[in-house]
Order: sequence, then structure tokens, then C-alpha cells
Amino acid sequence: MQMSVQVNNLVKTFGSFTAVDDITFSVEKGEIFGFIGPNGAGKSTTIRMLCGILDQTSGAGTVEGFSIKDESEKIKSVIGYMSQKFSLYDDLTVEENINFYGGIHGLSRAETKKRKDWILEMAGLRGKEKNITGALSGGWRQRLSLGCAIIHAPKVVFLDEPTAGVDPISRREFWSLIRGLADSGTTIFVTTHYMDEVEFCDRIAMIYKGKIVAMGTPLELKTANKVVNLEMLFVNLIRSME
Amino acid sequence: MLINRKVIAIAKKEALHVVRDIRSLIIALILPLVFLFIFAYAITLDIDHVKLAVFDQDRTQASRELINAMTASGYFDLAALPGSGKELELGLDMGSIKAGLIIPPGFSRHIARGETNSVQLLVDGTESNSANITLNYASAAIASYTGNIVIAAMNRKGMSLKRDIGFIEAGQMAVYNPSMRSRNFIIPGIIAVIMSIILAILTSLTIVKEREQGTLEQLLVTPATPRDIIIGKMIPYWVIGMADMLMIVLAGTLIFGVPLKGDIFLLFFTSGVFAFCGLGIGLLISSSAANQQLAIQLSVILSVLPGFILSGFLFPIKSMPKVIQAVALILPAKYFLIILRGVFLRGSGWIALAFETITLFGMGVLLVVIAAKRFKRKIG
Repeated sequence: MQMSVQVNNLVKTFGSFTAVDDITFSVEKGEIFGFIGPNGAGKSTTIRMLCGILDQTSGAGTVEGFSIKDESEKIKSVIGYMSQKFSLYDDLTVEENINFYGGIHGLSRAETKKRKDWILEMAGLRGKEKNITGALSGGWRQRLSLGCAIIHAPKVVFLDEPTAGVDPISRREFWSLIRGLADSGTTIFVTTHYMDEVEFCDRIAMIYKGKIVAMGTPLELKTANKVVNLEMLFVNLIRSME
Repeated sequence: MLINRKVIAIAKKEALHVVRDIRSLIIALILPLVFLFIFAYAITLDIDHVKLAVFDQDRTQASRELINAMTASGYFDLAALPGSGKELELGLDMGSIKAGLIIPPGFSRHIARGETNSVQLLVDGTESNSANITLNYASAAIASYTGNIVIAAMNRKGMSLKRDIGFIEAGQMAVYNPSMRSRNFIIPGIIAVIMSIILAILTSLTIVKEREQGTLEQLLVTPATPRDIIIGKMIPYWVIGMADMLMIVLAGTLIFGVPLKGDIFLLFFTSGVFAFCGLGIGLLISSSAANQQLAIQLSVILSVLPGFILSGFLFPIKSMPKVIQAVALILPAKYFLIILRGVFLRGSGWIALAFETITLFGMGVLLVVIAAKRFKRKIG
């Protein structure tokens, strides 16, 4: 199996604080890889290093074969990134946001138009093209943000807490969109702190205080640790560390 | 490529921000005009209608002629005729008059006898510049009055000035601002200062705002380079800056009557180059400042203070200490001021202003390069 993301002994420190502490993992192509952990565990820091917008302290990593150390510009052309803040321009309309992200990824007018139709369909925003983005509800903003992040059909998509602050129905719809993307061959790297979302992932890594404390498929983790749900496993692991 | 799809996408997006935020747009378009009116009326270096008090102890035709000679010029208005030297000084103390003339008793008698005569002139020296000019006006008025006495005396003796005495007549003319209205000189300067301020403010928020709202992080993960982002962000604000320039030039020439002697295309071409430079300063501030508040404060301080003090607008750069002169050398406003005064008052052409124009362009390029460098492709 070909690896989409590969990380070896990655470390990030901010002064005396170690945000990411010597983590090693890999993500296969077309897989949904979940990064699970509480706030401040080092999830966003890891994503930012993989996206090439934050330098690592030590260790190595590749995304689609490009080194995160010195090929971050090449990485940027093959990935999509959706930050926690749903980076949309609130004063622009839905359509204007899509056009902007199409243009800034270097898409032609025709390509952007094609992708725009697809995004509007996918996000259920048809008929709302002229709406001001700031006035959209959470679920719509989230799906529009995803659409803008993948407008250039990237090979790997990094989603940083994409479901935070979104209602349960929208969350479920969002995960089915993610599944659709993965089935069409896109690698998904997603972080969350909702334990119920873990079951939607192909494989997960549990991260706590910058360290990976458990990794595997949800089923593997449950059977190996003899627990009925992963939340219990996670709580037990954290207790044993304290 | 300097202008590519990414640059166009950013320029379009930035233009949409401007259009959606209509209040800010109105401010950006009206503020320069407001500044122009305030500064043009407030700053005047012309001195006329100085309030003059005369303590006339002679009260003869001769003393009245002297007073007439002073007021006829239009520089002095006879404001009071105090009855004593004390009263005149009190007027100066209270500021109700700015100059005082004391004519001694026996003034006309002395003249008639052909004796040297002296009058006393008192000037409020708190504003030394105005006091100097007032003294010059008064001396000139008294000298011209004395001249008239001399001519009258010669005529009585049957002599003629032109025939009997060599005479120097100084044909005076100020070549580039013939009416010597200080407003003609000040308004081009005000335009340079206003444009520096408005341009720096226009772009000072564009990057720091995106950093604060989190969209910058998203931009950094796209293939757009810092140069694309900076040039794209400049384009719509450049258009606004040029609209501002057009309005204040129109107001300056049509309302304030400042003559525009030079080529209007040269004026707008050089303004366009200066706008590029001024927006570059705003972007450099925006890419460096920690938050929006700081960015605004920095852009105001860095444009207003040097604009007024170091650009040569109010104080000639040549009379400043060498260190300050060196600082003024790196100030774009200084070059733009030279260009504006040249085009407006002197009618200078393309070749005469080539050095300033090229310098401004070079500074603009440098600013964009530094801003792009400071605008890291990374966070944290």
C-alpha cells in the first residue's frame, strides 16, 4: 500500500513547552485517518507542520512524497486544508468565496465554474449563491469551507476539527461527505475531540500531551484492550499516564 | 509573472471587501478633501492686516501722512490710537494689537528743519517669524515715506531725482510664484502629506486583519506567493488612492486657485508611482504589526509626523541638521513634495523630475520586497 503521509519522530517545542512529542505514524492513500485527543493535545500543531506552515523542531515527514522540511511549497499544491475557523470571508457571498479560492489555487474560469457547481451541489448551497457567507448557519459554513478547501481536487485533505460547533445532523452529513471523498481516492487526515466520530474513521491515533498513546483501527483497539467503546479506552489510558 | 490568476483573485476579493464596507470607502474618499480644507485654511504664512496701534504725540499732517503710508500698504490696519505709551504697551500685552508705532512730539518740526527724526516701532515677538515679516513691512513703509520727503525737499530746491542723482530701481519679480501667495506653495505640500497619510492607512489593515480573523492561515496553505498576495492587495487601494488624488487636485486648482503649470499626465503618472510607494509602507506595517490597532497607530504616526516635519513641507530640509537630512532622504513624501511643487508651480517636465520619480519607484519596489519577506509563509 502506498503511503500518503509519513511521519517519523516528529517534535515541536515552543520554548520549554513540548506541543508534539516524538510522534511516528503513516496514513495510506484514500484512508480516513483520525487524530483524536483533547484540546491542546497537539493535533493542530501536527496538522500545521504537515501543511508546511509551521516548522518542526526535529524529526521528518513527507506528504505525497514531498518532505515537510524543505518542500513545503510543493506540498501546498497537492493538499487542501480546512482550519478550525472555517476560513471564509464573511462579507463575501457564497459564490464570491468559491471564485476566490478557485482563483487563488490557479484554476481557470472554466475550471472554477465546473468545481463551483460541484461544491454547491455537495454542500447543498444551490440557490444560496448570492447569500452573504456571514449570515449562513454553522452547517452550511462548514460545508462551504470544505468545498473551498478542496476546490482544486487535492490528493490529501487536512481537516482541523471540522465538526466543532456544528449541530449533530450537520455533523453526520459532513462525515458522509468525507466518506465519499475517501472512496474516490482522496486521503483524509482529520482531527476531532468528539469520541462518537471515531467510528467514522478507518484508522485512528489517540494523542495526549503531544504523544500518541494508541493507534489502530477502531475494532483493533477495542478488541486488543477489551473495551466496548473507545471513550473508555481513552479515559483509561489518560488515567494510567497521570 | 507579475499579474497572474492568483493576483487577480486577490485583487477582486479585496475590492469586494472595499465595496461591502461602504462606510470605510466613503471615509477613504472624503477624508482627503476634509484634510485639504482644514489644512489649506489653517496653514497660511501670509501676513497682512496686522493690528497696529499708533501713539501719535505730534498730531500734525506729517504724522498723519506717516500713518497713512503704513496702512495704505494693506499690511497694517490701524486698530487703536492710544493716548500714552503705557496704553500702547498694554495693548501689546493683551494681544489686542500686534505692532505699535510711537511718533515723538515735534516730528513734523524736525522734518521741516531737515533734522534726523526717529520713530519707535514695537512688535509682538512671540511669533518670531511673523514679527520679522511685520518689521520688514514697517521698515519698508517708513523708508518709502522718508523717500517721499527727500523727493519733496529736492523738488523745492529745483532738483529732479532722475536728472540730478543716480538712482537704482530694483525690478523685483518672484519667478515661479509671481503673486507670492503662500497658499500656492502650501497646497502642493498638503497634497503630499495627505496622500502619504491616506495611502498608509488604506493598506495598513489588510494583512493584519486576515491574520486576526484566521483567513491568513488558509491563504498560506495555497500556492499563492507573498508577492502575489501583496500585489493583489495593492491594486484596489491604488485605484482609491488615485481617485483621492484626482479629487484633491481638482479642489486645489478649482477651489483654492493653485495654478497647475505643468503636464497633468506627468502629475498623475508620478502620483501613481508615489501611490505604489505609499501603499507599500502600509503593507509593510500590516505584515509586521501584532494587531489592527497597532497597525493603524503606526501608519498614522509614520506618515503624519515625517510628512509634516521632515518632508520639507513647512521647514526647509537644507536648514536641518545633517542627521535629520539623512533621515529625510529615505522619506518618499520628500520626493513627492519636490515633484508636486515642480509640476504645479514651476511647470517642470518629465526630465527635470526623472530622478525623484525613479527614486520613488525604487523605494516602492524595495518596500514590496521587504513586506513580502516579512510576510512569512509560515505561522508561529
